[in-house]
Amino acid sequence: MNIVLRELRAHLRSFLIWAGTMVFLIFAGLMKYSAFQKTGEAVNEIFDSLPAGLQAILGMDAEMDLTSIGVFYSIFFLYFLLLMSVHSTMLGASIIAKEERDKTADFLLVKPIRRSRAVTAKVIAALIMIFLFNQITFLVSAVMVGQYNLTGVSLTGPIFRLMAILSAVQILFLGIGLFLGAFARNAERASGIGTGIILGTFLLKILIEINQDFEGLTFLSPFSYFNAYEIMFDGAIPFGYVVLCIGTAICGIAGTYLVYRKRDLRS
Amino acid sequence: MSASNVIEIRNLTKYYGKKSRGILDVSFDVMEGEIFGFIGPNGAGKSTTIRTLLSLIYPTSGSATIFGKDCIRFGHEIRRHIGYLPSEVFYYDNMKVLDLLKYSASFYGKVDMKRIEELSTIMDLDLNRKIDDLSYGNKKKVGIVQGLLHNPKLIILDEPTSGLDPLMQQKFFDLVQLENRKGATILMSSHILPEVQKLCSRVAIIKEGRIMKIEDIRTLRNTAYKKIAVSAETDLQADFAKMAGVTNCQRIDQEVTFLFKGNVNDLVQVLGTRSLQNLTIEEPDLDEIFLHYYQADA
Amino acid sequence: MQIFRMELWRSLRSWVYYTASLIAILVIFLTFFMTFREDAALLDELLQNFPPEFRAAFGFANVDLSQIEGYLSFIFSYLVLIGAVYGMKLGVSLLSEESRRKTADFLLSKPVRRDQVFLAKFSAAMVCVIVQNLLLFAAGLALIPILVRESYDIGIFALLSFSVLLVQLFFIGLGQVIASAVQTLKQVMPIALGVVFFFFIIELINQSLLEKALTYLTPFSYFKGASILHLHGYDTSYLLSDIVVFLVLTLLAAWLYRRKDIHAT
Repeated sequence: MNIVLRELRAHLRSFLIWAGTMVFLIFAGLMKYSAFQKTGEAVNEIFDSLPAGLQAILGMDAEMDLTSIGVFYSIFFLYFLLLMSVHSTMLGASIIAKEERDKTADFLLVKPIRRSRAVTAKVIAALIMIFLFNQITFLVSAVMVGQYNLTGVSLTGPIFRLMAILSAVQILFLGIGLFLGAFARNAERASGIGTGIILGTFLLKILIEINQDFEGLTFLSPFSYFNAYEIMFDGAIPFGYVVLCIGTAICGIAGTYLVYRKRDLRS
Repeated sequence: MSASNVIEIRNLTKYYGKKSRGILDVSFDVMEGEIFGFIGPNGAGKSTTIRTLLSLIYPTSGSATIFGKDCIRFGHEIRRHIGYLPSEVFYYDNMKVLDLLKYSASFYGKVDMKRIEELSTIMDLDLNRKIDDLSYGNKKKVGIVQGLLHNPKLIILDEPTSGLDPLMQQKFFDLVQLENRKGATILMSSHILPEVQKLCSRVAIIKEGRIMKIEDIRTLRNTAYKKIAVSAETDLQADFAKMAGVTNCQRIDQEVTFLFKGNVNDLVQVLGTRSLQNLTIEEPDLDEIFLHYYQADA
Repeated sequence: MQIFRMELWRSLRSWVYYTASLIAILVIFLTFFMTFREDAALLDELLQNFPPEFRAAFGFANVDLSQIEGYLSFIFSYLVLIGAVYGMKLGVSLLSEESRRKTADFLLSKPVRRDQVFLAKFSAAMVCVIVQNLLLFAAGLALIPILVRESYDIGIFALLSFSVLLVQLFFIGLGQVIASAVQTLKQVMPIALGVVFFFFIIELINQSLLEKALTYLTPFSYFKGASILHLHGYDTSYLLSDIVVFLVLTLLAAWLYRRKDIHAT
């Protein structure tokens, strides 16, 4: 418990910066909504006139009101994915690897605790932080969207579903980050590889979008697992991908324990 | 500046942030050719002073000159002739010792391989090992060699002996003294008094950021205090404890020890009236003076 | 000079990774052009019906992706992102490296001015990104004719290719300021990625509004494909703003670095 508290305290400043950034982006993004809304009914009319086949290509169905706040908000999903993937990966990598970097490994790990307990405490602290990050995003979104929402139909439920899905992706990247922190030679290498994974999987998403031949690789890019619109409004949650996220994260965390237990700690 | 001062520090003050004290109003000179000790407990401001001299940090107020030049404005010129050994040494990983030394030497003109080899032989340093694989003590040796290899005119040592075994300490002191005889001035900070006592000719004592005293090391030891130990069958502690000029009076079994400062004749008179089994009068260690100094003031 | 060489040497590994990745991404995306163009032509026809705000909001670029130049501008919107991450990382890491690795005492007790140290590190960063961009450009020149057997406008490609460098300059400036302003920076990548993605998302948000004033906030708006294709050059006001920001930030970083206290460990 003392380690968990210490980790939370140690990450407080960076957490506040991340949370502030997130709040700013939601705020800035929704400010744009009014401009977007002005295109109004014209968009919907064009869209309805399109053949169903083309609508499918665009991944939207005919009943959808393209200028509604809910649809606009679903665009934010990508922003959240980008920010949260960076936050989770870097948090996971640094929370494990920083002991050696800051030369505090000698302090912490000579205390009368098992190494695995130190790892457990760090995992718990990291989970608390990504959960809080997620909840801050949820609360700010729900309140802000509520301000713009004039339809009378609450969007809090759909937004909550979106956040639940995001938390699975956060846990996935956290698992990857933790494993890298334990596995890589130093903190720098861990965050370097993490960067490669984030950028690589993000570009893979783009590739999948422009070339159908790659659809088979969808499972490799967490950025393309989920469709925000479907999650929010069709209630369609692809449980397979959720399981994949959690499963990968569990493997990552298990790997963290295994590797870190046998690691030679350099002074 | 007077011709013989290598370092002149005037009212140097450094605050970290608004409240946190680094050093306050520090002034002292280091003369050419001397080995100057800078002593004080941890956190007293030794490193702050030294880092200011190297313009690693910038003073809040006051100034310092080295070789007659302002050490902030002409820092780079001055450092040409300074060898510096930090208290904790860190070097670039992924480099061999030899590469690091060559890199270091490249800042001072031509790389003198003979000098590198000579110094590493004295310090028993393997040039072909990787820095990452070195023990702390061995890294310290790298620090010593890189600090001396350009024949600096001023050598600044910040807690130099931590991490070195006694044999290496001795070799290091010999090396420092050799450089000193060749003309180098040395400023050395330490909290280990015997080593200061062994090497230095003058010392400045710093406490809580302020200079307490600057003194010739012999003056510090000779003129001020005598360390007296007397043994007797009767308990003499009460007799001496109340005497003027006596401090640190302690009794262990039959022996009473104390520090005495004042007219020796007064002491002899008192001693003459007692029946003693044994009497020793010694020059006190710097340690004891030092401790006394701090306690008296606390 | 030896500091400059040392910095180059120390930057080499990550430079190789990023340069190779940039070229690899260019190649991979180019290989799919032929298959993609039919879909793209269809999509493009479709999108012409929609108002520009809608296209922008949903991230459909305002260019014809069935043309090679349009497709290149699409690829480069991502190459610019990768390049920006590298630029930011370079700016932050060079100036914080000595403090992070605790070698500041070693380097700064040598007879060199702080300004010289700064200049050496800055020059190393410049060499890294300039050579990187030349290689990316050269790779494109060599490979586009092979992968896309049709003629294309080399001038447009050059403009697109060197927009990576221009965006990198912005982030190098920003990275340097952060590194010299913060007392001890422990990690580079979280900051580099966080800041770059922040600006990238600002650009994504901006797209939904076709209002120019706000686009000055993020360098990702400065050299967009649509504008380069349209103007056959860079938008002067953006170019100017990019260069000015870069120069001002670099000078600010140099000033901060000169006055920085280097603390023990």
